[in-house]
Amino acid sequence: MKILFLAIRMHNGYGVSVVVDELAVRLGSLGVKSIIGCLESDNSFVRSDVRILQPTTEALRTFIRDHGVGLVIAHTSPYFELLHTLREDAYVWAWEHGEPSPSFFPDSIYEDGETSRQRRADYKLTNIYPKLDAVIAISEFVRNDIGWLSAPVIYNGCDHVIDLSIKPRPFFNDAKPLRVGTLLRLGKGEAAYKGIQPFLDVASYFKKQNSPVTFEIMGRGSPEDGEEFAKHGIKPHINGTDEERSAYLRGLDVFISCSLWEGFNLPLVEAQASGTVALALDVGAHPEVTPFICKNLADLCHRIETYDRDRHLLYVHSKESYRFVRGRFLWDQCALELFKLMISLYGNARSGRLAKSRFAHLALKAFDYFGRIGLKGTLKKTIQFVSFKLRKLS
Amino acid sequence: MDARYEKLNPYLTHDNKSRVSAAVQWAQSDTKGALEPGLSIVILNLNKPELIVPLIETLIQLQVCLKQKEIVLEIIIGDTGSTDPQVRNCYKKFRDQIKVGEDLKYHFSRNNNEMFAKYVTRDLVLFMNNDIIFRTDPNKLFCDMIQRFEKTPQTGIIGATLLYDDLRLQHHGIDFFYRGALRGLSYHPGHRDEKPLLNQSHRPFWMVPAVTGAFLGIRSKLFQQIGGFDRDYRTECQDIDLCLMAKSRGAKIELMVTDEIIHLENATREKGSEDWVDRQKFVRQWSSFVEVMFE
Repeated sequence: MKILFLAIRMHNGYGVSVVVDELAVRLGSLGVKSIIGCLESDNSFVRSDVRILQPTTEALRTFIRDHGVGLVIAHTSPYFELLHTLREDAYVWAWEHGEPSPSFFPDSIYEDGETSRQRRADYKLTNIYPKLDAVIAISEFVRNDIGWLSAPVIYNGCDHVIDLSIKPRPFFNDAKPLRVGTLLRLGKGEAAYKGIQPFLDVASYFKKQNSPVTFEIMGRGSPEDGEEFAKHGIKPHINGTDEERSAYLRGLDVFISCSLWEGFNLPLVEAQASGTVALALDVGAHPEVTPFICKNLADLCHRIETYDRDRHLLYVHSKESYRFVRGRFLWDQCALELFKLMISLYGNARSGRLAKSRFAHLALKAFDYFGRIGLKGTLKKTIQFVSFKLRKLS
Repeated sequence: MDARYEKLNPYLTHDNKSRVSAAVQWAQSDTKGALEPGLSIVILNLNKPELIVPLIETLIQLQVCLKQKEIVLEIIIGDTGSTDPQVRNCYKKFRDQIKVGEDLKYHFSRNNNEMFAKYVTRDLVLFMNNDIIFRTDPNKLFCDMIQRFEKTPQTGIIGATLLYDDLRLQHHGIDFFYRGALRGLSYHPGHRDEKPLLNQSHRPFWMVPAVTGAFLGIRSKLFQQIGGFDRDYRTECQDIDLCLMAKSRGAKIELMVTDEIIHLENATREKGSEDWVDRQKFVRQWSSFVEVMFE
């Protein structure tokens, strides 16, 4: 059985694109083939089979039939809205990354005062989710925010970030000025929820205090966007490459997120996976993805001041942040959770279509086996089997 | 989430909008003037003459004893509307030795913060409940606590072992659940143990994740820096939140092991009045932190 992932775009710099690509790759290593369908692609995800797929029922139906797709998982609109029309052809799941609250987008207000985003959210809740085979949420927060409390939660991973281990103690040199930075898309459209103004406020607080703490920002945007930040004394890094992004996240002393809505906040987790402590406000899913939650902007500033004074504390918290995300957010785990859900779906529908699939039989068998003897036992048995085969060959 | 624990769902009550309006605040506590060496004790009280009168008398005796050692003890009462004549007379009788903040509407965090901002002039402050009873002369106990603060600059908060009136263990530091549906929720290890091992030749100070606000000593500067008790907690978790705020600044939280303090818990609050909204907020803000720092 093949899986078809659907997302509006597969572009470098977009969290959903990273998620879909990693899932496709990790499922591949579990023996599950998958294809990614999208509307736009910048061809940067070369490990996956990415196709341009028009968001129409006919186009999708034809593709499903031609490629033997058994499960369709949509990650974004406009594919969400078409899922229920494909039920006769395959299992249909929604993978919800959540949507920022409509109040962050005042431009989209209708005459009756209801925003288009609110309408879309309500429509999904009443007309889309009930017609799907499953809805998955990327965090407890998203599960609550979309109002679909039965949605299982599958966290994203962070091990796509190169593992350079914990930063050594000398990195946190007392003499050098503290480097504080953030990473986000810089466009005006998302500025309200990405917390650009609070970030500027924090930077200006330190400027007023004549503090040596320096502020930086990285993200996708135009040179004009960068100039705006430079005016406030913030060093901009516009449209950095993947390597520059990794070096930036690793090189910062403190990563902060002033974002006011996040379904997961991948850059925040990536910073921690790079060995940098990450401070975030108590909004969105932040409490699930960083141990260092700030109650408000004053609290955030005070913590930065504390780190500036006490570099050993900064070292300890950076270490704990690294361990926290590296132990919790793994793509293999994410793929395995998805795999488990597929198996449970099979269990619930033995007489259904999936029961006829050879893959489902094998997967169920493998899973039952794994469940009985555990990881250690599976490894032991595998080693025994391989060495037996090798002995036989020699 | 298991339906039984749904009331601990950290997102159940507070939607993102309300969380955003709290997050973008810049509220910081007022800066106090220079703090002098010594200890300020803050007690909130409403009537209960049988508790507050003997407690004030004990503390005034202590004030005299500590004065001989050149330690200044400041006694501050935050009164939330006492009308009992015995209590009023007590305030009047000791008006030169104690400071009384009147006409407060009970709210643990707000009242304590107000009393701190208005009256505290010492570099150490002890928040204490009115239902604390000292079994013996508390002189040594307080000296030990003050000395500990002086000798170990990293110690930010000191609490104490508290016993029930039947001498069973009530509080010996606070710990947390690190896994499962109760992750992040606090509990009192050894609660109601019959024979707590407290008879020590010396008074050890143990590192603990948090201590109760019924007897909580903190450096005044630290209290001010972290903005005092969080006013958003209505009835619960403010004390543990304060400890974790201090911990997040690198301060150590310690427990003074003793069998000299009785806390008549719930003499001022009814049993079975759990505040799930406070617990949801606490679990949301701190469950990941306690997992990485203490597990």
